[in-house]
Amino acid sequence: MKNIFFCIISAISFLLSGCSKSGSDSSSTVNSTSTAGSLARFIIVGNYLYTISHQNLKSFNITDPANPVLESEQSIGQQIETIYGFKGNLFIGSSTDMYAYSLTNPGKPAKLSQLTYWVRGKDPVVANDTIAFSTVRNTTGSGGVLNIINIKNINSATLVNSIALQSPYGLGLIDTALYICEHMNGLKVYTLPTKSNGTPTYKKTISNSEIYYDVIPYNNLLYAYIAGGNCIFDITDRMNPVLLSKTKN
Amino acid sequence: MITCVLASCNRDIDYNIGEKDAYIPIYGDDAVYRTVSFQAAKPIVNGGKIVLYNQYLFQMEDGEGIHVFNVSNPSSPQRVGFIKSPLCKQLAIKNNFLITNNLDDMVVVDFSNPLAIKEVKRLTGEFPEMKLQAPSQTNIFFECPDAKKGIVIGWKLGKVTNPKCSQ
Repeated sequence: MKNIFFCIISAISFLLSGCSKSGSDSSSTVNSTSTAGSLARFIIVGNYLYTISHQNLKSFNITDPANPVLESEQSIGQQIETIYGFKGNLFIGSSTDMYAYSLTNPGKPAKLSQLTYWVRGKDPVVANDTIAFSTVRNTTGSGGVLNIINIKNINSATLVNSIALQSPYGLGLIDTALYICEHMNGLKVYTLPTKSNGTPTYKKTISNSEIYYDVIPYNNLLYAYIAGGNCIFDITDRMNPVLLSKTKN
Repeated sequence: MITCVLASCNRDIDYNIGEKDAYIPIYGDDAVYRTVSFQAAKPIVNGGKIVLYNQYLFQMEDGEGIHVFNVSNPSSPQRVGFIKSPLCKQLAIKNNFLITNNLDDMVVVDFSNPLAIKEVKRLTGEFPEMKLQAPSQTNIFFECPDAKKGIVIGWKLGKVTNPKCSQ
């Protein structure tokens, strides 16, 4: 019997962990870290910058960010695509696998587990404390899915459900709102239910005739990477993004 | 981006295959391209990944640099300028220090005055995968880069007689 694990245990650390964005420009010290979208290949977790190449992970100490110090480089796998940090763990996705690393020693992440997908695809991921969401976009042919994974126990994550998607790219999670970029098929808005299996409920699609690649939700705003540029929505009402501005060309 | 370190890449075709459609390296002087500078805001041509930092939104112009926007008023983003950094692919910022790549180097830029950014640190060759030593396309021929001609900063499609490289 084939053991096939769909387990995906990831999150965007900058959105949900202790990342402080609100540095004050008027004070003499600045304490802020950037927030990236789900398609990032550089991430900052605490005092470390993690970067991925197609095969390797590098860990730089940036306690003094003007002087990054490489502390380790390690081989991860092949066709590495995405990197995320969440609650002391680092999660790295390739076209076929998800790797979980511990940041107990942040300068030298230690491998915890490796999980193999059954389908080859691009797979950005977001998560909260209990559920991880991953879009998987087929690289041959069209379509894709949203995988919903129970991660209450990081060592035994289980696939709860898969929802068919049309052309998924990046995604963003804030509170109980999940935003999925579906390229020419728009920006899809879902709400998380309170039941533990975590399957989100589709609410609506935002189009504005744009092509959506990735989003960064932050406070009551949603910043979107679209073809040609970017746009910003007000998401005070999480289920009803209101377009505030578009910057293209 | 696929480089010739992958097993599928074949160099040194040693037989005559005639004239082929092939990618030709575009060389640049290190002095011109291995540098990070600030420019006036310019149109987004190939807008890429976005990064948020305080009141600033950054958007990659993949391979060229970073557009900087002030989004204090999200209804009316203001174009601040463009950080030119050839072969730039990613960025992250901590405490007003912006970390990115310029060619295959890691570069740290002081962003405390966004209109007068300055490079404060360069880790040479830290990102070897950022070097454009092969085109990103597959199932193609290309003219093998000649390091004596300078750094490869791009590729163009043309005709090459007996191209020696393929992938």
